[in-house]
Amino acid sequence: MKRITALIFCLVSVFVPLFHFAQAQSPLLAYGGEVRVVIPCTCTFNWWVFYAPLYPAPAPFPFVGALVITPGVTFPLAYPWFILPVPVPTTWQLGQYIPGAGICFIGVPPFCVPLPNWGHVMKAGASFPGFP
Amino acid sequence: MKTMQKLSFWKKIVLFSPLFLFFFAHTQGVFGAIVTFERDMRVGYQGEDVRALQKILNSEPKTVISLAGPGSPGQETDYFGVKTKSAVIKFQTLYLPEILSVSVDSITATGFVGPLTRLKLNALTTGVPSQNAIVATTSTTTTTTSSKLTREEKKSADFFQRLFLKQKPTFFNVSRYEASPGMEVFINGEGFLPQGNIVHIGSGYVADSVVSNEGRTLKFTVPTDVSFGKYNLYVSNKNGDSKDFFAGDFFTITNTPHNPPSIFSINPKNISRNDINKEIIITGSGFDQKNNTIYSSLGNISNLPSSGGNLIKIKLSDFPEFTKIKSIPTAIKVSFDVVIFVKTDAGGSITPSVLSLEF
Repeated sequence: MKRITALIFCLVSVFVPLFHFAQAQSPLLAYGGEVRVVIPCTCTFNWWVFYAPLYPAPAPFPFVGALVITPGVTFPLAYPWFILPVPVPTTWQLGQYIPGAGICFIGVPPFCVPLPNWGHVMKAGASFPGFP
Repeated sequence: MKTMQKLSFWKKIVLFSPLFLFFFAHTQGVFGAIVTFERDMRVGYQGEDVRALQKILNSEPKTVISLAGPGSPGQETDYFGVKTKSAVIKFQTLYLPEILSVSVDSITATGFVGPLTRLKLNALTTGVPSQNAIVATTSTTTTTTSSKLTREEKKSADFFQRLFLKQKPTFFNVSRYEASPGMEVFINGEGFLPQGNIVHIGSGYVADSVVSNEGRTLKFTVPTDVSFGKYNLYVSNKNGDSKDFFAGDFFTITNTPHNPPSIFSINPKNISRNDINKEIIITGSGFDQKNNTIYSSLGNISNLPSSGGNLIKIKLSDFPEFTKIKSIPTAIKVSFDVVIFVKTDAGGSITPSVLSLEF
């Protein structure tokens, strides 16, 4: 029992400061995931991309969720033609995003409504469709 | 030394753990000295960014929060209270003319820490001039200067400058398409100034001096002298107007305005992705008898009828994008909130309603 307590204490004393350190350093966070659904944001001229699974840092386990990709802003790395001009479903992406910065409005003016998302992808690489 | 050798492995770990803690906490203080402000802040907010804000405010004699007690230099707290707001107002008064390259006659300090204020705060913490400061918040290196920007960083910087410094007003939606004289209407968009916005109803009627608290919402009252009819609606301020966004006449002034659709509830609230044909009932008001459109994060569904104008029935299989996510072996025991809006000819529900899809 004492060993478990000691182990927990050690882990907390190391990882909690590291977590805060990471938070203070950079708003760019890593993510990875498989593209499943791509919705055109018709009012803001970008893409709402739904990933399942989605591994967004700093979350320790996978989710499903969405990020926003904007042509001309998101910087495509590996196999860029699977990311822009349109992200291709069943490709996997690995990249970095800024949490809370994604803006996607769907609809037709003057009815434009927001789709919630985790953030905006700033750079990403893709796999071939169907290959992780 | 002999004592140390006698200690068991775990006892050593327990003994030295506080040293680890001290070391990492200290290094965090050193490396984390450059703080970036990533969210808007106002009275009532809490967090370490509030503490960092207070430290910046206290570092300038003209914007000191308090001379003694909580919030005073050395006693900064993580709570954004009235004193912090007062200091932010002083800060904005001091720095906003420097941030904006345009005249700021019609802009007053609000005490709300929005994008422009954050821009200046980030510039102060990173040492990068205001116009480039946002770069520092998008870069993985904390001491980026404009001369060292990579191509992707430059793109990011341009993007954020457009995002935060966009001057021209645009609007995304209006709370109602039909209104009577004297009625209050909300416009959601961006590029609104704290003061001096003008809402134009057609070319002949204006509601002027419209105030926006956070740059994204305008509330105006339809002038009482507006004639009945259909008008274009647009916003202007000293930075431009939103005419380019939508030029059609959609805003109707009438004595008997129809209310836009509104969603009260979705039943069931949670649905398994395996219940493809289970009926989902959307309850609300203002639905069209024949032609409703659902906008959602799983695609749009058009031409939906409504019985009695208050019920719309759909199924998961009606969502055009559902087939792409109905089988995901890696997604287990997670849920995804599908946001749903309803649109009719009289307007749309602009408050999102959520259907939780369980995987």
